[in-house]
Amino acid sequence: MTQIRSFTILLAITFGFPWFALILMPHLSFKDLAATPYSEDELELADGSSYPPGGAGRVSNGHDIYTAEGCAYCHTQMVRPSDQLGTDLWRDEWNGRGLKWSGDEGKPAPIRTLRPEDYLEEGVAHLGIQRVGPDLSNYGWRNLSDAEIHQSLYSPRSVKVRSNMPGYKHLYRVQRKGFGAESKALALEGDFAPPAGYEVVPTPRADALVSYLKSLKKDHLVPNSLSGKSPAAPAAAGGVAAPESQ
Amino acid sequence: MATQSNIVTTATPEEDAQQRAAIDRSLRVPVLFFFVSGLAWLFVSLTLGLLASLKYHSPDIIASWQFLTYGRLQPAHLNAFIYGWVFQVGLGTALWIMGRLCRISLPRVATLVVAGVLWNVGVSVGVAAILLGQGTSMLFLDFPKGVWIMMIVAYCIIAGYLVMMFKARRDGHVYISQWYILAACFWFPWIYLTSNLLIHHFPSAAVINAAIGSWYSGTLLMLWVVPIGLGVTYYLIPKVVGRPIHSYQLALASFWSLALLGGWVGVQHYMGGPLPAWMPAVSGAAMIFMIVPMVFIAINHYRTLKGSTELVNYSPTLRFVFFGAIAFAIYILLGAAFSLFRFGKYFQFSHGELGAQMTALYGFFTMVMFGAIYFIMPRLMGCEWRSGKWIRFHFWFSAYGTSAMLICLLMAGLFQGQQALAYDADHVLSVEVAKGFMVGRSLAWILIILSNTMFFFHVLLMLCRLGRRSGQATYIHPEKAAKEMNPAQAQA
Repeated sequence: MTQIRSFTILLAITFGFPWFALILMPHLSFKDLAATPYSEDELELADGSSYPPGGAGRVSNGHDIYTAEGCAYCHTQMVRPSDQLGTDLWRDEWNGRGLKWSGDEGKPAPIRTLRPEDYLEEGVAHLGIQRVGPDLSNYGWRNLSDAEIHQSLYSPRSVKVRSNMPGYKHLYRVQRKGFGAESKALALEGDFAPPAGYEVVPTPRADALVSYLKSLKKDHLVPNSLSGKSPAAPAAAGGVAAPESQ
Repeated sequence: MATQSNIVTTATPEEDAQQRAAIDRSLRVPVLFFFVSGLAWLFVSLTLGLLASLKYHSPDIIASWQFLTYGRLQPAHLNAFIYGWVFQVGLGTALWIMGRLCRISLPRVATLVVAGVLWNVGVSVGVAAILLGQGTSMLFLDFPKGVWIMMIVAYCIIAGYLVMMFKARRDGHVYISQWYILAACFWFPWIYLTSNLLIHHFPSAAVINAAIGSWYSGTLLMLWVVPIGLGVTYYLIPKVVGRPIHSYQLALASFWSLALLGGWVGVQHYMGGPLPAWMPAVSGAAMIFMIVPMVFIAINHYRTLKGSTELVNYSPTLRFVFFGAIAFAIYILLGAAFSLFRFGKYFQFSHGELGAQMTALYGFFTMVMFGAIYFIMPRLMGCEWRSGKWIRFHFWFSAYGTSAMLICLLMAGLFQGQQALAYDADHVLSVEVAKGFMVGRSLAWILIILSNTMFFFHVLLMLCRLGRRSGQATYIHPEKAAKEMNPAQAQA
């Protein structure tokens, strides 16, 4: 009997240590992670009044649909930052405003790495299980219209011929024309179009998913109080209080 | 580890044999229950896996059913595989081995079967919920919030039986297989409870929840699948060979190094992610150090087998276990390689990671469990397997199918990862270079399904006691049986 007792104690020690250090400690120390308000001089460059700006209710419904449909099985929301590991940041569509966005002096804004705060609005961050489709961290910056996103969700190959994404037809309704909501009907052509006299309209679930996808912007300005820069630094550096440099 | 065969006893051989028959009788119902429901889930999971695999390269087949989209099929397939098949066959085998090693017959198995039913209800609810769009999109934790209660209650009852059997053991000696099984009993509720409670009920920051999810998928493999698989391997190899394990010290060293390192793995999946950088770094380092116990285990198995390698040719059990032991070494090496930046940068988020996980789940665990079923079923049913030819068919189709699936996944991962990092290349190219290998994976699934259909049929015959009446009762030592039988129909 002492054998099983000392066995259990040894197991508890060997497993308890990683459990405490790797799981419990980070869990407790990040529990109260909250949005940080911007300082006065950061406000004009920022997207909202605090970092991160915060999403609306429909965005979080959209997150639930993203979860339930298993999007994370093919899409990551994690742009790898370093040259050692291999960087994805050169991809214009992945890196947010990235090189396309310039600060107020026309300089290219530095691309920053992702931070835990970028995911603050989500219950579980969908960093991703596999990356079959493109990374979606900064999908919101691709400036696609609702109609374009709806079309690629309903019928991906009508937008990108080589895509192997499944069509989420169950998030849409095929209905006879003339029932209202025509303004939202998808502009499908050829083989992808519904039968004559019918149209495809998004359900509220599809709208919520699109709101969520459009909200995916993970390159918000990091307040100097978080990035460790002194508040005076950006002004001295030429006014580009751009996202934290690497 | 004086010996793994049941000869440490003062009883006469006849009493010994009667005792073993009594143990087998008492365990027959629960063990068969776990085997049969596990096999049913294996079939469900393989079907879902084949569909998911087909959809990868031909996304427009069966596209109109919402519960058969890739994002629901893939998690349903993986979770049905783990909780339906891996857990049930693992628990069934663990119960039987524990009974034999502790020399304990179970007086009351009703609760055990009820727990098994509860577990199956949990898996059914979970898999159905994933298909109906209630999944959580966390690898191996996809069952919706709440299902974990059913699972943990059922698991604790079953694990409780295993612990009680150990406490009441009649054989004073403690075998290494018992250590592994007991440790797995203890680790799983801890990691499962931690992950579910912290993610669903006391959430922290979103990225930390994600990190806990990845820790779970790593530790589930390292602290449940691996120890149960190794416990069974440590039992079966000496049994079939008829010699004790080469070195007890080496076995203990590998057990404790696994225990020391196992709890750290998993987070390396998110290396380079928005987490405190030390978390994936520590996980990756633990995964690399895991080579140490793997080498100890490989040496031990090799030295135990040495001189009897011809048994691999005609013992179905040893043949499957041998395949599994090699796959275990490959799994650890792949895991270590993917934790290094040099390789990890190509394989992170690629099919290669799934390939490594399937090496552990199918190449190692499932193959070892097939070996265990070939060993245990005749002892439970009192008749021998119908045909050695069918077993050969099962082995070779499984071996080729599994190897093809793993090679396809790894190659697809390599090409995919390389293409994804190729500067200025369209991302869709990384999908297209992998497509050919994905077609290969679908073909491999078909081979695997074929081989297992044969196996189901064979098990069904055994269940109906339509096996070969060889006149040899279940308690005959396997090594004797192996010598007396003609190689094509070897039993052990």
